[in-house]
Amino acid sequence: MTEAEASSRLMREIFLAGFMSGLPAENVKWAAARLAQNMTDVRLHPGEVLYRQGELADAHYFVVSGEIRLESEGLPPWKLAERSLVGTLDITLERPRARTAVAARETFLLRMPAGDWLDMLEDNFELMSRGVQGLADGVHRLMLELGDFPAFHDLSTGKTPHPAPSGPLGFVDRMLILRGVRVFASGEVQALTNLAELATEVSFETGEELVERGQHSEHMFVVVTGEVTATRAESAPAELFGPGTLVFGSTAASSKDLGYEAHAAAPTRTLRIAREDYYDVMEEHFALARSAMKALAAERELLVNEKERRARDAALI
Amino acid sequence: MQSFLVLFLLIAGHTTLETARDALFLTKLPPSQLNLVYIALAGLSFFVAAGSTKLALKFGRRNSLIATLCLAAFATTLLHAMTPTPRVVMALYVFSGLVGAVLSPQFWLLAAQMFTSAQGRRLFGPIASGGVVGGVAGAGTAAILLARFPVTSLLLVAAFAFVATALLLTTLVLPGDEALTAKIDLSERPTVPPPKPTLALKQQPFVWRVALLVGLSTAAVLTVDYLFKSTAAHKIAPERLGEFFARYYAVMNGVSLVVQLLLAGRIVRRLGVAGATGVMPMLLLLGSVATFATGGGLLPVLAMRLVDGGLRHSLNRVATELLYLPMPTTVRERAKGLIDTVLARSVQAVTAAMLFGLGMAHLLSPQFIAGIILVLCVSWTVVAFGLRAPYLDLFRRALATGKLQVGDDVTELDMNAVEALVEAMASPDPVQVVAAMDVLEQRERGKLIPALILYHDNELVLIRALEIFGSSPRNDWVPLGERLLSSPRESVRVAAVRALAKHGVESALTRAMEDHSTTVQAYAAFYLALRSDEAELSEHPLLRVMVQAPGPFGDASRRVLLRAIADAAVPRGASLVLAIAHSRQLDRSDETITLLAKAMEALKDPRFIPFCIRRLGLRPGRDAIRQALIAMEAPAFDALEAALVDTTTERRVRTHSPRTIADFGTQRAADFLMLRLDDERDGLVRYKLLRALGHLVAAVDVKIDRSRIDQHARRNLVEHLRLTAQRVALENSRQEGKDPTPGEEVLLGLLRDKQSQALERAFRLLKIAHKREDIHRVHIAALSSDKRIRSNAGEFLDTLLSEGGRRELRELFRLVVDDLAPTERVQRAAAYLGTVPRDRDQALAALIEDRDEAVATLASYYALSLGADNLRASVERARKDRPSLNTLIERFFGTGPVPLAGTA
Repeated sequence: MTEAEASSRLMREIFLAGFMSGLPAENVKWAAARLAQNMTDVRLHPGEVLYRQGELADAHYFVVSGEIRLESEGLPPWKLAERSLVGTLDITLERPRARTAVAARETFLLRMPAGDWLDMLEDNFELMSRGVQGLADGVHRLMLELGDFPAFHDLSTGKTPHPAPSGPLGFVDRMLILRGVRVFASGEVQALTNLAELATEVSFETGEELVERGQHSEHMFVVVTGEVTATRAESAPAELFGPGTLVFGSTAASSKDLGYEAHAAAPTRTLRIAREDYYDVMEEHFALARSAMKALAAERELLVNEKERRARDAALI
Repeated sequence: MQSFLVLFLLIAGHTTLETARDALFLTKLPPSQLNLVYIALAGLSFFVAAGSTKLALKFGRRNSLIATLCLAAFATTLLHAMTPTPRVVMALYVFSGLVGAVLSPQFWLLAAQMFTSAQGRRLFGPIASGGVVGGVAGAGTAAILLARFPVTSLLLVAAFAFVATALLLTTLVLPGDEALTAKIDLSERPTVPPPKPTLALKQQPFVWRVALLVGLSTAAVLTVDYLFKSTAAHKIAPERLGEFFARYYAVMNGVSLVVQLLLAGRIVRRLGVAGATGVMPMLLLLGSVATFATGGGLLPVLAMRLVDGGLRHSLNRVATELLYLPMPTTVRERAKGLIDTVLARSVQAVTAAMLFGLGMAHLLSPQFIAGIILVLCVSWTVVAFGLRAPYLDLFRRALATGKLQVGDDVTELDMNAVEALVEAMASPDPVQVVAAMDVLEQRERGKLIPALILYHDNELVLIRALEIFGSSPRNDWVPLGERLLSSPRESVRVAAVRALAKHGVESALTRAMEDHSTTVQAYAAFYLALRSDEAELSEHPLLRVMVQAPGPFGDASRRVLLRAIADAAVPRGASLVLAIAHSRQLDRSDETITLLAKAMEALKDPRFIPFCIRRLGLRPGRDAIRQALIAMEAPAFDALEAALVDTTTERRVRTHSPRTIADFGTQRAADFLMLRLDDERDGLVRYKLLRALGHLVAAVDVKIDRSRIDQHARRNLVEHLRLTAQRVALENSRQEGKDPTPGEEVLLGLLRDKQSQALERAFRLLKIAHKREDIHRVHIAALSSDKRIRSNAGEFLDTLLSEGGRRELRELFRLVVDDLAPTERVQRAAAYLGTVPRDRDQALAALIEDRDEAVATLASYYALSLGADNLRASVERARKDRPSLNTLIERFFGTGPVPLAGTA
């Protein structure tokens, strides 16, 4: 390694340590050193393309300085400035690049191969769980910011919910119901096997409370039959969760109290999963964590698009 | 098929034309005149090639080929109508050469546009055989016709073949040029705007190597051709030349056909693309030695021409065309046009001029020519075998967009880095300041952090600076540190007491005992206890109270104690650490366990090892626990080894042990992980072993037995294919349009997961064997929905694994990555799988017996839900033979009857 390379690597470590400043020091030290090892510098002049729509998503980029514009025909552009992470949504959603990334001005980025990033998350549950929580909290913040935009979107897997038998749920029924929930959908069958085993079938009468406002719920609920309403404040419209959905959608992955209360709007059967059990299974099966990140990333994309669309419309007015 | 027919007709026509050309030329003119024709041909090729490129750009590749064929047919018919004077014959030779120079590259460029490299590897052989069969047919037709008709009649036959080819081409369906170009560009480096074509060529060292290869081969085959024709003119009577050429070309093309059909594919598969390009020059080399030794004997000359004719349009053509495929489209288009026409003809001209000059100097004896061929073939061989590395590099560049710097470590700081770090410390952002201090400390340059940083107003900065100063031998910061004992922030006062206590500043402890914060007091209490007589600190009355204290006060006191123990690092603290670790009052939060582990790391007492190993199975503080174990060195390593080998150890502990062992970063760790990888039976633990080994290999320079890694990769690929076969059998047995039953859906999902896992493991193993390659990217590319990207991945793997002894692994990767229908993939994999299930019942019967209990359980469930007697019997037998399977089935599905399909 040349002196110049050593210097850039040190600077990358400093940048990363700053980037991950919310994490425990032990994790930051370990992760920053590991990431910096495999990073490369990318410098772009205004108008230069970082990647194009449709390309293989093989890396993401930390914006050290400058600005990147993400463009796609028919969609509002996104602007990502310093301390942003570019290209992560594509990697999380395991798809080719959805937008073209162009430098809006002189921009310096650090390129991080996707494989190293995913390996690092898989190796460090603390980082990974904080990543999931951070994404969930971010999605929720966006929901609140957008106000009247439907909060918990129907980002279902597109499949008809598995029909529940009238009697107690069998093991395969539980697995198929869980598989229909987006947060769990791309978790491996083995992970869902564990989760299905740990899930408890719980019924609620109309009006019965699932989640008390101001009380952090330690459980996640998947609606099997019936309907659940959730409200955040007296004035806010109630959110409805029907069969095959997770109450609070993908943000249910967050351990924080999001300020909602939830009631059964009709006689309701649910699968109740302790959040701690969920994270335990996630630790053993990285695919379950990736599935949660995927669901949250899809939701985040939808919300950011809406936010940017509104900003564009406002600018036009 | 259409491509095959096109090439068949095209080459048939051209061979017929060549036969007529050679016979007429050597009948009317001496062989020495050949060199003049070669020179003229080379000069004209520049213009013809340029015209051909313009035509292609304007009207597309197919249309330009059709136009060229029509023009060729017209000119050939015109030449037939003329009397074969020496001038006309010379014109015929030049014209025929130009037709050959343009038609063949045009066709192969069209083919390169139509197929991916994986398709090319599969299809170029059969397509090229069309050309060889065409050669046999053309030469055979010529031989038959010449028995009854004059040589000139062959010109009409050639013209007819060209027209037929053009007509056939009009029916060829092509993918849209634009869309294709866009797709190909996806795999190219995106960070810079597309360079100008000429610049791109300059920046492609591989192109230059291919150019060198083509240049040397052109010179060699032209010299062989000259030797052959001059020998034929001397040894065969002029009136028999036409018949001789027709028959000889028929034999030659027959040999070429055999090579094409039986050998070319195998040679490319066995030697790889780069190796296959070396076969022809090596054979010609042998021929030239024999010719030299026999003084220009007819047989070795005929043999050399046979090698030329037999391999040039079959094996050599396929291998050389494959060399172009991984090039970026813009580069390939331009490079091929230049190399195959301009360069090749220039080389022909130079070679011909040289031969002409040598002839004029009366130096062109057969032996001398053989010597020239020998020199050219040696160079050609060297270039051919030297292509492997750049060929691999080309795929590497297509697949990876960044270089890796794995395994390097930074120990020294240069002045630029130091300047940058000091600048970062002046940043208004406290996070940057802390990060800069961390980096300096890690690089053992903590002395560069100025003591004045203790005037900083940010809490994080002050705490970190005090931690660093406290652990360093320097004292210049002490007066400023004492000032912080009156900081309004408790965390800063604690940090100041810690730092000052480490440096033995008594006054700090005295002031701390008077602090209103119990946390600050607790810290001071520990240091005061250190001065007591107790052999073990756990016996100290005040500390004992703190260890056993309940509630938040107790928690806070224990955390302070643990920090103080870690700071003081005195062996007497070990008993106190153990007392805290086993205290029933201990809160097992991440923070407390981390502090406990740090104290253990500082003291390195082997008595901590059992506690640490148990804690590996639990999330809070696991990273710090790992560090503590590493600090305890060999005894901890021994204990971890034992825990991992012992299958009764808690599974969560076993799954986290490999990574901990890898973090030791030693050869011993690598050897042990490798050994366990061979022996471990638990799939999850095996996966963790694999990952751990991967990280160790990436981070540290350790030796790994690559053949064992290859064996594991092979096993995983076979497993992937085995699961594919089971899944295909299940899916193919379902009625079309019918949804899977719940049991089937879950089982298929599990099989899909297992397939992905097996493939992922194979790629991880490959990464261990090739740590500097971005194998993850190859893996992503191999799963891409874009055929060309997938094809690039396949080609990369093929070349990477082309070294000796890895043929089977290479074939398995190809089987998995190649663009094949699932059923065809399974058929091709049969040789590796043994028994391949043909239908659902066979697949289920095998899956019920599967060694993976999850698979066996879900297969049993699905089998029972179908209600078939034979399957029910299989399940009952398996339950009886495997009690663990029975337990799982009952655990998941209960002891009652399993519902039938569709009623679940």
